[in-house]
Amino acid sequence: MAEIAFLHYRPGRTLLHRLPGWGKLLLLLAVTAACSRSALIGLALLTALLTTGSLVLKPALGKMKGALMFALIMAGLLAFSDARQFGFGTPVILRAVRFILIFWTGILFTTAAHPAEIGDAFETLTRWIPHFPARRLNTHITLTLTFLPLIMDESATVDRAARSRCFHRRKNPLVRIRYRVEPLVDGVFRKSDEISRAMAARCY
Amino acid sequence: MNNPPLLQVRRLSRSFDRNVPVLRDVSFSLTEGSWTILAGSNGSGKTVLMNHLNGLEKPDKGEILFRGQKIETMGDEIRRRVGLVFQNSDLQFVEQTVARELAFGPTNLGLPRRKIELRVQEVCDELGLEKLMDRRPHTLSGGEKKRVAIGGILVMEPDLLVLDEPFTGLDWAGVDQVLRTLIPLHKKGMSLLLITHDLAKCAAHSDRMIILSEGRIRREGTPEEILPGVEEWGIRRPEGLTWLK
Ligand SMILES: Nc1ncnc2c1ncn2[C@@H]1O[C@H](COP(=O)(O)OP(=O)(O)O)[C@@H](O)[C@H]1O
Ligand SMILES: [Mg+2]
Repeated sequence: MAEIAFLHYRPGRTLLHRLPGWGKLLLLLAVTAACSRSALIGLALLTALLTTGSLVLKPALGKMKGALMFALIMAGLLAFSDARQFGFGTPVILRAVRFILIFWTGILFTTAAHPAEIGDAFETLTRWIPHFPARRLNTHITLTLTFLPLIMDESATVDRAARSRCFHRRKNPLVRIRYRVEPLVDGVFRKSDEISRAMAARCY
Repeated sequence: MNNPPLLQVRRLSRSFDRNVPVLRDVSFSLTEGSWTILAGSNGSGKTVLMNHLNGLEKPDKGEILFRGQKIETMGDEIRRRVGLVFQNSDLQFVEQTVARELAFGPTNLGLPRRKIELRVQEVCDELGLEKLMDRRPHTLSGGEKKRVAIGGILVMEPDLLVLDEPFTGLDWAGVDQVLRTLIPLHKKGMSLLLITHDLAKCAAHSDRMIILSEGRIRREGTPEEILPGVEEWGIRRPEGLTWLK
């Protein structure tokens, strides 16, 4: 599998990088909202927009193959479960496409924005709302965005360790999924343990 | 003595971002039955180098030969011959019991069930894992985890065992357990490559040392030759040589 290099902040000097934190966040929200509401023509436009964004960010993006594989698999699973519930049709495809676009948007923005920047921007934008726990959520967002890439790195190592014991020879898809998912879920639980301790240490 | 060395790394180069090479023109070889230490400070490229040794990663330039044969022509065989023990045992474990964890590799190889059981039993006896066989790998102590991780590789009957920072995070008893696992293996003829930044724990047991710094091999020789100058490369020089009494 390709090196998983998404959700990592990569320094750069693109237009997206240079936007202030609140600008990135607003743009992220706008694009995400557009992705989840638009019909076919809108989605086509967004795809064009995201492709342009990816090309501009290319030097900073690293290898996208892992991320795309992940998005395609998730979208496939989503479509499958939808199709079983509602029958197969345009809405099912639309939802899968929207998922991919939203995921893609997330990748672009996390590549161009440092976790703390997104957290701070969120706090700045929401501080005026009475009783809104802006500061807390800022810590929450920053920590989550900091730990996500770690989990992704770990899953790359899990994958390497399994391949080094010839796991790629197992052809049964159920076996393959099981040994991919189980260690990853274990890892996420261990990490979320760490996250909650790290948050406690920062007096969250 | 015309046999080719066990493993030969020739002019290996690798970079991830185009402009930042992680390995630069790395060459060295390991002889049969040797115990080599690859030492280097954090970020010097040790783990990346390890990932190349059994073909998990492909170099940009250079090649690796196993007993004279290019590893990319060996298919899965190289994965079996060169066993990698990863730094973080938790990321290596895939199963819910130690017994099944040990069987994972041979099962992937498609060996008959009878043979798998036999190998697992052999390794269990060899490493003294009997009492742990029904435990969950993730819940073991540090030293026990490392032994199980080593066991999970030994069942595949490798010719070279590569360990990435095997002492990280282990307490005194854990280090002791791991060393007492490795020493008899080496006595029985297993070739070892031990990757570390911490020479104090293992310098006494090695017969060869390689210093890696910023992706380049800086020194290669016997521990006596190498140890006096290691601090130049950001590696702490051990005070005595015998950690294990
Ligand atoms: N998948 C990767 N993508 C980009 N850079 C990497 C990757 N893996 C390792 N590196 C970089 O290579 C260098 C050496 O890493 P590593 O081999 O892990 O060092 P160590 O000697 O501590 O084991 C580091 O600077 C690290 O950031
Ligand atoms: Mg390392």
